[in-house]
Amino acid sequence: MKKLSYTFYPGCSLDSTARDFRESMEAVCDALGVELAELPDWICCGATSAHATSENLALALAVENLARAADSRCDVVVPCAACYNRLQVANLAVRDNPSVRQEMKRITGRRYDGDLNVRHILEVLVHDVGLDAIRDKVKRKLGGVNVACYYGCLLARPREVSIFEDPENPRLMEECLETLGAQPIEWPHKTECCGAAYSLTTPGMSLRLTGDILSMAKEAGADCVAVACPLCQSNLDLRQKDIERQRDQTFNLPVFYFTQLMGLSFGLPERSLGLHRLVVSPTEILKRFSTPNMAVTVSNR
Amino acid sequence: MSQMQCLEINTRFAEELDPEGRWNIFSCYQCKKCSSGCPMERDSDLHPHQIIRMVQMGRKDEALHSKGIWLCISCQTCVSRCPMNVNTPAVIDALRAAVARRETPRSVRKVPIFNRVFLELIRRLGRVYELGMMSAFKLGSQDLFTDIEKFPMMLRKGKLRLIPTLPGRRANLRRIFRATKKASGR
Ligand code: SF4
Ligand code: SF4
Repeated sequence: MKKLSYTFYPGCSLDSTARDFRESMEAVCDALGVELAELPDWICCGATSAHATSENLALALAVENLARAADSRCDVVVPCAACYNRLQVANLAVRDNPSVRQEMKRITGRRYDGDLNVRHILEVLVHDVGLDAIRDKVKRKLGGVNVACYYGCLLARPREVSIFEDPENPRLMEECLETLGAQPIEWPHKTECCGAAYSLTTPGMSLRLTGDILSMAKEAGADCVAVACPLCQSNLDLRQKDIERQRDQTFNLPVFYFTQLMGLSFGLPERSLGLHRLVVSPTEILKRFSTPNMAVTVSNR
Repeated sequence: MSQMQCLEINTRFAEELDPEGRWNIFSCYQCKKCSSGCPMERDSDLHPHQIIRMVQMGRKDEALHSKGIWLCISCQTCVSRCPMNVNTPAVIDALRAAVARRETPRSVRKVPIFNRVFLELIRRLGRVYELGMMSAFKLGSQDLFTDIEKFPMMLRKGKLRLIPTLPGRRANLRRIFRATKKASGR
């Protein structure tokens, strides 16, 4: 198999609240022979605060990173959905619009024409590595548990940067997890907004949105949730207890990064996947993951 | 005899916000598809389609002083679903940038405070780390208690860093922030 190499832009969350995303993603990429070279001295993409303040500032922070990555000529892979969105929006703006390109050169002092590709890790694993190569690594099938795949906003919208064929009903994570023998469920809230960006500023609204998502997942029969965004993860996981208290309802839904599930299925050590960092304990669910065949033999006895 | 009334509207405000006409402000025909999928609509005084209408009509004060422009969480649902490709989140960003600091409604004032603190951290450090962010924001907004009880657990799980890892070359950041600072001094 040819070696796949990328420039890796981790973003701020993967250094702290989403260390488990980074750990599991690196472990899985390693197992699949995907090479990630971290962009040296990367800076924050500016997130919502930058584009809510100045469009040029938001574009310039992203372009500054991309311009530094340009020498490697590798695609830039971004695991955080929010960073992915910001970098991709800026990349396309520079690529398609000469006046933006000019303005960015003035602001950053760097020439960057938008010739790199900005990619999200989910799409890289499914499209570049491919489902067949993923299937080859599976040691343990993850049957026996219903998984709700939750995508949130920023991988799906706006349309120009969406990594999905159908931004209203993405299937990439489902395809990936089905390859591991898991059972994704169909449910309506896959791309509803969880309100993570406002969890500090207007927590009431954010808790309501997150609560609606957890509640719908539960109602649809989910035993756990799989995500591909660090903001969604921390909102659904870290605040789940608060929402349970507020709504007087029990969810008990562990919120995995999809890369953690891949690692589990590849038989990688749990510690290397950061599973001990999850707030809602996954212990019960981990015991229930089994091959569907095994489940049948057990119940036949 | 029925008479049609002509209403003169002031298009200058929309043109100020979007001089190149990139966001299709005047294509909006008020179908409300944007508002029906908007997560903040329930909490807001103005719904997204109404914000666009205010801008079309040049009703500057109502648009600039609405809570909605701060409650908008930039989820991009409206623009993705709009049949006329009206870029509502971009219009809202431009409105936020045009509002003077003291004119933000009190109930949503934490949003611009958060943004300021966040950007200041980037300007100084190049990266944002949660602990620095939360403590600076809490001081700025005088809201010292939300989430404090989560710190010990997050530390134990290795989800908070006391000392962030920082990028080496930060000089260009100063240049970027200087060059994008608006003439208004905001
Ligand atoms: S969906 Fe588009 S056309 Fe319809 S009301 Fe909203 S902005 Fe206007
Ligand atoms: S981007 Fe803002 S206005 Fe549009 S749907 Fe999301 S919250 Fe509502």
